[in-house]
Amino acid sequence: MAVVRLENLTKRFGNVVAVNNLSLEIKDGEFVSFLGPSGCGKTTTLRMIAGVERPTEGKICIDDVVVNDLPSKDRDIAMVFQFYVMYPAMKVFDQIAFPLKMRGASKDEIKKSVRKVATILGIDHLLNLPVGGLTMGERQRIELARAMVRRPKVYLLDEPLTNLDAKLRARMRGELKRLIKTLGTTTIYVTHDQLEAISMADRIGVMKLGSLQQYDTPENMYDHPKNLFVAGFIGTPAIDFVDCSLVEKDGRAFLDAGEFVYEVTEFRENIVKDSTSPELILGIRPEHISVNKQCAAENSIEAQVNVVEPTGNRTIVRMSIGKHPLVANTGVLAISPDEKVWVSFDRAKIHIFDKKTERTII
Amino acid sequence: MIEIAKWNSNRLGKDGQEILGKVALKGITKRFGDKTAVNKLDLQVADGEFMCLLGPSGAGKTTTFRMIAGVERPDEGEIYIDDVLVNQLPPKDRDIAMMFQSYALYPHKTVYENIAYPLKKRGLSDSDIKNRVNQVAETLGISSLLDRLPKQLSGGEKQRVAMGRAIIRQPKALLLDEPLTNLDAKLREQMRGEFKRLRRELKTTIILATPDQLEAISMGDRVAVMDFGNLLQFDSPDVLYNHPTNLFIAGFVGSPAMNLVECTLVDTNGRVLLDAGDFTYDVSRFKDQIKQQATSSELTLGIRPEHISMSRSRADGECYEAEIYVVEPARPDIVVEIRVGKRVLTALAPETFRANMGDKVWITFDQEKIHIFDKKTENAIV
Amino acid sequence: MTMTSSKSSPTSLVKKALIYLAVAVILIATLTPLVWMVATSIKPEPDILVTPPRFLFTPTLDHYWFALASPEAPLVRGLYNSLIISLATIALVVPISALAAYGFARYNLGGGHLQFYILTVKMFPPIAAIIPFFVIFQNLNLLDNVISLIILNTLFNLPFAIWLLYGFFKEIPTDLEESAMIEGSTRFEVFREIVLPLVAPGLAVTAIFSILFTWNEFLFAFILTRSQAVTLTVAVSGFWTHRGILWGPLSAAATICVIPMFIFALIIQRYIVRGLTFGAIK
Repeated sequence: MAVVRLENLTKRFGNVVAVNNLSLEIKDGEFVSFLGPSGCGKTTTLRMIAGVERPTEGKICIDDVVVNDLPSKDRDIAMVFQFYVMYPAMKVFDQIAFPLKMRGASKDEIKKSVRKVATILGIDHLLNLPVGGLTMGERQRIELARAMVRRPKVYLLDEPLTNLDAKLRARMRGELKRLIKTLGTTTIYVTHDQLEAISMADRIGVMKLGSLQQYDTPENMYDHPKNLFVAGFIGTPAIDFVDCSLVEKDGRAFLDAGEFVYEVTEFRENIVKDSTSPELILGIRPEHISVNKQCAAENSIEAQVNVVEPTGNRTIVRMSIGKHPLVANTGVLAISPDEKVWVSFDRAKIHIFDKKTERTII
Repeated sequence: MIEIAKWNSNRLGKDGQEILGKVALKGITKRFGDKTAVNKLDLQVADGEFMCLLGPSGAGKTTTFRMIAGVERPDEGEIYIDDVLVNQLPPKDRDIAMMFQSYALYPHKTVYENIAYPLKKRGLSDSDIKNRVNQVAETLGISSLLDRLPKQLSGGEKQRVAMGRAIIRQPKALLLDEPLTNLDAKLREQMRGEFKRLRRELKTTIILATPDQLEAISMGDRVAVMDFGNLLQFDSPDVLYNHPTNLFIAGFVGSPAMNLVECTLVDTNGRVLLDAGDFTYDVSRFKDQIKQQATSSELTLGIRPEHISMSRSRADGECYEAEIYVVEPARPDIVVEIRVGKRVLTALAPETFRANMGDKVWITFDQEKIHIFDKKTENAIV
Repeated sequence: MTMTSSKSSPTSLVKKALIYLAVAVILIATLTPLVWMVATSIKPEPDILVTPPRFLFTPTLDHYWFALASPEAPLVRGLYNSLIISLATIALVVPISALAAYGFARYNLGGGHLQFYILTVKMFPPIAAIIPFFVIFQNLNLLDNVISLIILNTLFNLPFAIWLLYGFFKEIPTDLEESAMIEGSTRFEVFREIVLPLVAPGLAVTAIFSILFTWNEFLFAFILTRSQAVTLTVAVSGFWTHRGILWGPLSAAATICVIPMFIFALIIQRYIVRGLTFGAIK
């Protein structure tokens, strides 16, 4: 249980700025995810918190103690990696007990702690088996157990689910979230998979090329992204962006995208106030687009279906409005490629971005 | 966006015949020592079909591909390409193109040479080769990479080069072995759509192997599900999703996975119930089907997460009290794990759903959408 | 994972000093004989066997002239024969070992047992085989003939070459070959166009090791040659006469023997490193 604070954290490798002036605070018991594409600095930040990498500038504080100069073993943290190295002949019990043995805990203490953690993770039936023959899922839980057995102040997880197949990953997301919430330890989880981040974390820090883009709850990240990058990175299928310009006619305001126009009169004031130019980008998430075979509402736009991907309980429809591609994520729908359909956008869910600054206006 | 040039629309072979691409496997078996990799496989792929071979790793998909391509010999059975028995034909004479999971790009040859290789082997003139390679490169958006070596390419670029080499020849059938597995999530999602579009332009028979059920059901005309070398079901994605014929398919296709609850058949007061320990479910209306097909009273009830509805208040009909176990606010559908007694079920909720761990809710199952499986045989009854 | 520490502690300085010391010891142990040999070759006769050893002297090339002209040690002929034998050996070893190693790597010929037998040839102390070989070559009338040495050197270099190339061939993913075969190549075309270019460093290393071994080979050359097929190593040993060891000319001759390989190694050394650490082709 600990508060982790990063103040103006910067890391440079020669000329490359891996982490740029990062400042944020992680509350006691919070589950925070660092999210971003590869090379954005998330793993470097994690390594600095762990103590295996020294910051070039800035401070790292755990419970108000500046830990920059503390070696890893004195920071009371536990780290779980992607690739777990385990001696195949070592018994699961010994594998989990290892950190405690290193710290000189008594045999009784070790036995109790290991059993407890193993029970929580559902691997107590494996304790006497060698690690060699076990499945990926079991190994990953052993690795988690090893991190948890010490009850450190902070857990640091570096993409622990990457090596699992899709099904196991989906299951482990729920289990892991439940587990960490029950234990109540402050946790930092690094991943490039936005689905993992929004499913599990209390708050997410999205990073791009070393800079923090937004630090917020999953809901806010999704519904109120601060800029183009965050909006485009979170959510799958990705948000649809349409380049357009603000046009005013007869007292009404429209977004002119060339192939179609979209009325935005009620947002006009905000747009004019916050934009640097009339060059804007309209953003709408695929699940907020409704697709109909007939022209339903006034704001409907005609589109041509290119590809239909049924995904079980939903359907992904890839369309184009003239040259603009558009992806919609609807419920089960019976349409075929080359059909003409009518789409409308959920007005309450549209986003408008300033094209130059890439910041969100609506 | 990829626009395919029209060079591939002329699918006439050297003798003016329309190029067909039927692939048929009859009783194909392959053993490695005492392990049976592929077991009596019967498969008919129609001309021009986009067929997906779906199965977890070790299911036998790659082995099957290798046998169709000719680099592996089946122990039993026959392989027909366009109704011609090809068991004895070496790979180079079968007119198949295969894209390996590892891409198999020749590290010492440039991208141009890699893509040109199949045509060189077929003896085309240098200028013909140049034209074709340029067209394919433009189609796939890799024209600027032609002089590079494979080690200088990113994952996505390598994949496109491998694709280029596979499609340049206009083969009878195109075998794609897990082409999207090594790409990151975002790229994979993009490429799914590209593949479907590519398929329409190519007009070749395509067989794609994948362990990812989402890829298979979103791209294939028909999907063949394999496990441990056996073909389990070969149907359209729609049928596989809504009418899986056995337990494995029901649990494998669809994400989040179908809830599978083991229960016992109980007959009381004329009503037939499934007793799951923590709750019971009335299945009187299926009484006859169950009596006919069940081998015992051990059954498994299946219900997909999207067919479980949750509400704060008790509803009519069969309603169960449950506790919220975990909320994963994924979008567009929120995944909620709920605990009923000792069981944990998964349900989907709309994006407006808000709840905390430990909250109590009432759940109901969509009556039209339940599945019942025989626990022993694993076959579907309803 | 490295601990980047900006402090230089006393312990790390001591560590560094120890490492340098170890390196220095190894260098001295390795280079001293060589330096001594070269020094001896240019020392005037009286200074050679003096104790304590003399390090200051006026160099002379007398020993070299003597060595080159001496009839007991036909250096020029030795050089010529050594070259022929070495080059012929490589010409045989490289192709044979390549094909054999490829066969082992892809077809698992002999189920591993055949490979083991071949490797045991290397474990065999050559001197134990010298008499049988002598008799065989005598019967074949190949004594004092370069051919017998070519055969023997090829024979003793093959195991190592095959073992080395086997590792390289195993590194090449079969996917590459299968893909080429699906695209229309025969197995041999695949070998020539796809596989060989990728193991080129391995082939270079094989050639290098073979030539080094063959050039320095003494035992067989000594026993199986008289005057015609004398190799450079044998020629050098000619200075070990019944009159005594002629250290000066001997050192000069030895230096002459070493120089070609020395230059060769200087040129090739980076290919050796590259070849041995080539590793993954991905």
